[in-house]
Amino acid sequence: MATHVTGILDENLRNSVKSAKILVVGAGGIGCELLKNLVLTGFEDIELIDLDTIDISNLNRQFLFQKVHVGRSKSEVARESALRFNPQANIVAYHDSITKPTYGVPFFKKFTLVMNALDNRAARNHVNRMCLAAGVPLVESGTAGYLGQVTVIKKGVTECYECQPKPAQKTFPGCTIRNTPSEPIHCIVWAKHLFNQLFGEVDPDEDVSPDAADPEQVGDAGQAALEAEANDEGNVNRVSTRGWATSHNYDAKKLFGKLFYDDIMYLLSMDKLWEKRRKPTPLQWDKLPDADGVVEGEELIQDQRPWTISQCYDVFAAAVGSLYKKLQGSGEDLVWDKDDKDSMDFVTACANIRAHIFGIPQKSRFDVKSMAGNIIPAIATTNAVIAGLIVLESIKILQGRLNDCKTVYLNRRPNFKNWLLVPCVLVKPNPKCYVCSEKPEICVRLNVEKTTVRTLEERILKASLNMVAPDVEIVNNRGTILISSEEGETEENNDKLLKDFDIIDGTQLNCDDFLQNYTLTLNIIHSEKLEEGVEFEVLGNPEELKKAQEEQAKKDAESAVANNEGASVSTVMENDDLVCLDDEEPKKRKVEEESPQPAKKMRAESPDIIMI
Amino acid sequence: MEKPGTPSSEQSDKAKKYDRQLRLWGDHGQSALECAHICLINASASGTETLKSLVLPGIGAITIIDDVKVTPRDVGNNFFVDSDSIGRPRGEVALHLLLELNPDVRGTFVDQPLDEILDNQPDFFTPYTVVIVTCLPESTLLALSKVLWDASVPLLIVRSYGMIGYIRVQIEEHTVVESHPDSEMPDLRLDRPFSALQKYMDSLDLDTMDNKEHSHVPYVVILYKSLQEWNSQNGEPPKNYKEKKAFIEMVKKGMRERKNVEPEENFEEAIKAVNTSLVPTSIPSGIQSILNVAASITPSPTTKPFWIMARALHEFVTSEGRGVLPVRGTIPDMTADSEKYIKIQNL
Repeated sequence: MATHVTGILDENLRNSVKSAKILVVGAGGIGCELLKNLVLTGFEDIELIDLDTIDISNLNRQFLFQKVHVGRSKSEVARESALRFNPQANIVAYHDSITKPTYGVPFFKKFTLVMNALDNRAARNHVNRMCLAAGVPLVESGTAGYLGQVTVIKKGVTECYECQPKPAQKTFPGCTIRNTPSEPIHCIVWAKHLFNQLFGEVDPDEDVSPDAADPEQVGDAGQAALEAEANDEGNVNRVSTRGWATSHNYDAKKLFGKLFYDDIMYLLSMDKLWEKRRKPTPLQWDKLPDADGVVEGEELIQDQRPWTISQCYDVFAAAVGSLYKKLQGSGEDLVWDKDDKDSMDFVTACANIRAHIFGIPQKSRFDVKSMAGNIIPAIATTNAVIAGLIVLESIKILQGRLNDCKTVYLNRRPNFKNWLLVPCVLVKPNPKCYVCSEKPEICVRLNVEKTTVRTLEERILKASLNMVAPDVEIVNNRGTILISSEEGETEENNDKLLKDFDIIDGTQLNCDDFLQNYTLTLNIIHSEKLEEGVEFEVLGNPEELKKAQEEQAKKDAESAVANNEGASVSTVMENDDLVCLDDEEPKKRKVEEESPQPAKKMRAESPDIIMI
Repeated sequence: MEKPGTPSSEQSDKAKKYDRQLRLWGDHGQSALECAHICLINASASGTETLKSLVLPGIGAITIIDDVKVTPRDVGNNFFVDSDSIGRPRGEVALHLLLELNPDVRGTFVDQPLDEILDNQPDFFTPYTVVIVTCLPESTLLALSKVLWDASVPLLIVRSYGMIGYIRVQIEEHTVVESHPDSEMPDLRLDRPFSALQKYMDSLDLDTMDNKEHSHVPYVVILYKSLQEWNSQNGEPPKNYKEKKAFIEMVKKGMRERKNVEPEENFEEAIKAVNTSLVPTSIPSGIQSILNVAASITPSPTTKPFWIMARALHEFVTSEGRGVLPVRGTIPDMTADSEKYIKIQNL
């Protein structure tokens, strides 16, 4: 098999390709193309892992899968399809999550090379750390629509995946979501929170009812509203949304009345909010603005056109009905899923009704799905190009030519040199990186009087810093164990506050993740002035932090002058030779200087040639 | 099935399958894809790889022209032939495996040497949207390229050799009608207001408005008023950075300051928009050159829709357009009361 490579790869290389042990993480868009390329190039020892099953929306690009495979394990079907081409290849498929303890450092050490074909940052961070710990080179990749990127990571030689801090996901202040939405996304976030309040795991940070403690609403009027509320309910501590819905048997009409009439009336009573804003218009289910115009029983509900408000109500009622049935049937909380019809219908309808109330443009179900599900467009062509580049970089690593490896960006259109694929030199490791440096360190700003040990573990160490099972010790004379990864050892600490353990401004925590073989010193910065709705802020390395603050001060001074030239900047960015993935901030990379000579000549002779 | 009367919003299977790409090129792009019929000459590795990326997103139809039989070498480098098929027609085997990827795509296979087709069926290629050719000797390629040039069918020449390769495109003219520009500068016509816009703007008097109304005047109106004032003093709109800065100062002066009330948002928007909104209305050079060509066209039944529209646009510009393009008609978001915003929208 793979006979054609004889004339292309020399004998040594053919042998190292044949004997190399490869781990491919992810059998999705890039993974399918990559597996095909690997068997075509003559790789014969491949392990493939993916926790996902095949969905119908994969079939436009994940060509190893067909409609009959929907619902089956991606890695297993990919293996079968690739073996059809080369039955001699040895492919092991795991239908599993790469973050499981089964796949520890010894597992990673088995491989010559690891290739990431992932679609999320958490898994990328984890594999990055595992490869650093195991000392195995990693080829990292990603695509989004027409854009793509491949890079090589080797401990001590190149930047690791986490050397440059990536901006956190955008969040919105609680008051905007609960009281004063002004954009469609605010209504969509509210609707997703509402879904969890009614059917999913209730998160107190995702409250959807009006927030009487809005800092904008100061003075007597707010107090009056509070008192009025106290009279109605007999208690200022209002019943939870879930409790209310349960006591009314999830009756769609009553729910509608509470969410879109009563709660809006309550918001209107907070009059300070509306001095400079358009007032919301409460809605009643039997007096919907367009109810007259719609023929009864009309089923012209479209995916790509916004629904009318009475259509929204019908969809709302139907979705509440079937979600409630599911909730009762399973006895467990439901999990919101963009590909579940009822979940998606519910969020679209609620978001649009709320948008209408606040005079915000309505969105089609198709668009709401994009925004609520954070969908990144994807096509086979981009994945094929990127998977090809992964193999080319991998071949250089197998030849021991790590110095020749590049970060390669696939652009939407040719850059100023007429290059569509732009190679850039690999960047040296960041000596202050909180993952790959000698002694990783990071600062976190939080309020020790409000932050619980649980928040530290779940939100900071796991969700934000991507640890899997941290052990945390306070750096003091006693070496107090705050969190243990052994089950049951420190559970009684979970609801206690950090200050209960004498953690103050400047306290250091020693955080260790055994699986990732990763130890991080966490510096606590106590602060009572965090922004509304923010529990903590990860600030980066202590020294860099200081530098960044100084630069920011300088910038602030400069921007005061150059403020009104802003509009033209964004148009320049488009043609620049950089690509941002995962909504990362675009970051200037050094373009490979030594461009191949022939390319320059060709360009001079014929401007029509695009280098790819 | 849903009960009758229950609203159904379920996406069709097809919309679900193509969801991730519809978010890239929209229904418009998808229908262009589905109307296309691609012809591939030679089912080589690069040929089938190309078709794979077209079949998956749902190209309308493919035709493969190939008269060779599968060899062990093909099996070693082509993912779309399998080892059981050695000795069978390569085009047929590849077509079968490619069509497995997407049941929506139609396909045919022609087991005939290309030279023969070129000699005997000169019109064979006319129906295709694009012809892709791989691994073809130069003499045949030259003959093919002449036929396709004369028939106005685009030709893509693909060649790969070890680690190097190239793609060449031969196309006489390619016209695209796409009404969604990638980047949008607002088209507000402040420098050359059309009469309805001018009339409406002049009907508003900022000085006599109460505070609430004043803070909800759409910023285009603010800019228009300031521009009138500016022009009466300077004769022509601000052009450079310095003049624009002076203009901004003028806009600022119109702001009403009240104690304990934040600055008027609509005026702040106006200031921000100065840079992009005062660009003189003109015809971009690219469009002008299309109009110049269109001017000499006499529409006939074979004229492409693109050129008929370009010709019509030319007529407009030279007569009632008074030298400029029609107004785009979309306006950016702005702080305003609904009544005024809608009025402007309707103008």
